Amino acid sequence: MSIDAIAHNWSFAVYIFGVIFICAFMLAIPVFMGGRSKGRAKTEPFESGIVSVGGARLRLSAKFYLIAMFFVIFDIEALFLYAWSVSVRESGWPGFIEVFIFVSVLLVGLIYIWRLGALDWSSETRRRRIKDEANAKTAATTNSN
Amino acid sequence: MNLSFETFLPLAPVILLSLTAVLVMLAVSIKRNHCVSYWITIAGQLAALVSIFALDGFAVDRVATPVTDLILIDGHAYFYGALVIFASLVCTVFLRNFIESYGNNKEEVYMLLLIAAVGGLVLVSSSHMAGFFIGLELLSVPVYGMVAYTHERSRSLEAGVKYLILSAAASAFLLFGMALVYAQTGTMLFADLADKLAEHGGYLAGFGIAMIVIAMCFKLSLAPFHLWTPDVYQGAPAPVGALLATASKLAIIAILIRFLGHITSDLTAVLQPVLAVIAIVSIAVGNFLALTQTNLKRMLAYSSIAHMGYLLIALIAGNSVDVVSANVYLLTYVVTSLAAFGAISALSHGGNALDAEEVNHYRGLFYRSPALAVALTLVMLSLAGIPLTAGFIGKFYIFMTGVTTSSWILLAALIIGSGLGLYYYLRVMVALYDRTGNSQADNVPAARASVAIVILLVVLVLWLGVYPQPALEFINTLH
Repeated sequence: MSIDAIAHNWSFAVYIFGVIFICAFMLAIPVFMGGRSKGRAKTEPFESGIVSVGGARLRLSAKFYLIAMFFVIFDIEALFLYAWSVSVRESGWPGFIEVFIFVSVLLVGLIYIWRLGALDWSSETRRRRIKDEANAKTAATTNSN
Repeated sequence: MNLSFETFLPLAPVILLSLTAVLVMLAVSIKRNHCVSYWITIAGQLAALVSIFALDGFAVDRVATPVTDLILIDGHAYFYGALVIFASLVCTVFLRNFIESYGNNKEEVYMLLLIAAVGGLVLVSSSHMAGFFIGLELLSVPVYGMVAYTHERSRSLEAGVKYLILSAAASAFLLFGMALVYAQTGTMLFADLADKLAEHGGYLAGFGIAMIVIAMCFKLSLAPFHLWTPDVYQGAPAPVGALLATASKLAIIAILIRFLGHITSDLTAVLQPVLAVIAIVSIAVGNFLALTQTNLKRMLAYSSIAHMGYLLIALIAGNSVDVVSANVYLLTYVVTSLAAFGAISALSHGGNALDAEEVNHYRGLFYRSPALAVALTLVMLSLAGIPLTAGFIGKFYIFMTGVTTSSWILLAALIIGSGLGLYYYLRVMVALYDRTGNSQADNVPAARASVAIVILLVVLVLWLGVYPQPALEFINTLH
């Protein structure tokens, strides 16, 4: 190892040492120098501002995740199409065929998730209930007539 | 680069299987029908299998054809590819009876199976780090879904999550290893690897290759990385267990053989003792832990750890990979394991809370379903490596590899492991012929199609055991 390399590595070692020392110093010195105040609110995670209400564990509908996932999938499609669109002329017919296959596979995927009911926001039981209610209402109006 | 129809012709099996997966998806979206999805899957896999033979995949004079940089198709790729498709085809038949009684959506499992088969095919023929990784993920990701497919069973869900997380960790190892190798050598092609490794000294690539091998050991459930195996095998539906034990293992072995063939000898010299220890520990751990199992699936899981240990002997004994021994062993192992899991699948139903997985379920099976019991007996004999069954031929080849390379310690492990193995395999056999009644499983009917396939597989096991010459000659012609 040349002198230059040693000097270079030495300065890096000093730097690392400095970083560790400063962190340790900043953590340790208040223990010795500063006082400590105790209080009920002091032990809470939020010391200032508005007192938090309720837990952070909100229950979100799984549908949100589903939509997010579909977005990612079809966003990737758009991404690949960008890559193709700048090289349309160079990639020629083979490129076109390949993109055609790619898009048609994704189209089949889209049809699949649509038929699966993954794109409907309300659940199947709820949809059926709404339908039944509507049917009952029309039945009632026809009866009253 | 000039792309033409001929360029992609060797990929016909991959293309056919992908097309089948899309067709199943389309069929499901038009109308959900279990029978239709099943037959499309079967037809697609048969077409892929036929295409391998129709393409002169096994012609003696064929040369290795690269399809772009990612994929290199040679005789071995075709051999392993054919085995992967064969295994997934057999699993499809097992799945049908199993999933018939399942309450939820049934058809998606075939889609996942087809995608996993595509992944296996890509993996066995990849000649580039990218192809390697894509193949591996394409193989593993659908399997997570298949393991957790019967998610109403808490064990199945647990197994799926466990496999997902641990497998993802292994994939991260693999990727980082590839990155290190690339950082050192600047190439992702297997073919250039040896030259570039010799050219650029340094230890980064060594670490990288070690990490890749660790990830492979995880996927093969070799000993220090085996902890997930029993839980996943137990939780997975029985037909999925069959896929996990055969198609996924053999595809990874195939790529490991290819990969080890491309790294320099001074690196293999470092890897060899490590892998030897892994092999010995796998054999010991697998066999010892299998001794006390009362759950057949867990027992098969531990026995698969031991079998992978035996197989590793063929890969590491001597100075080079003994491909012929490994191929013979894999062939016999795949056929036998498929039959073993097939027997479990035949008695299991997706609608029930548990598979027929306890040894107790099999107590007195001979008096309820004699054909299946005899078949299972022969399968157990084959797993134990008794002569006249396929398992013996496989083990004999591994043994010969050990003798010719004078790896006496590995041989000792093989012999002691096989001796231990005999005990727990025999215990299952004893249960099959036990006359004391069995309250648990007397009423579970064996699915006829699965039983038929199991019997066919057992015939294959016997044929390979009694008259192995055609298969051995065939494997010797591969190159």
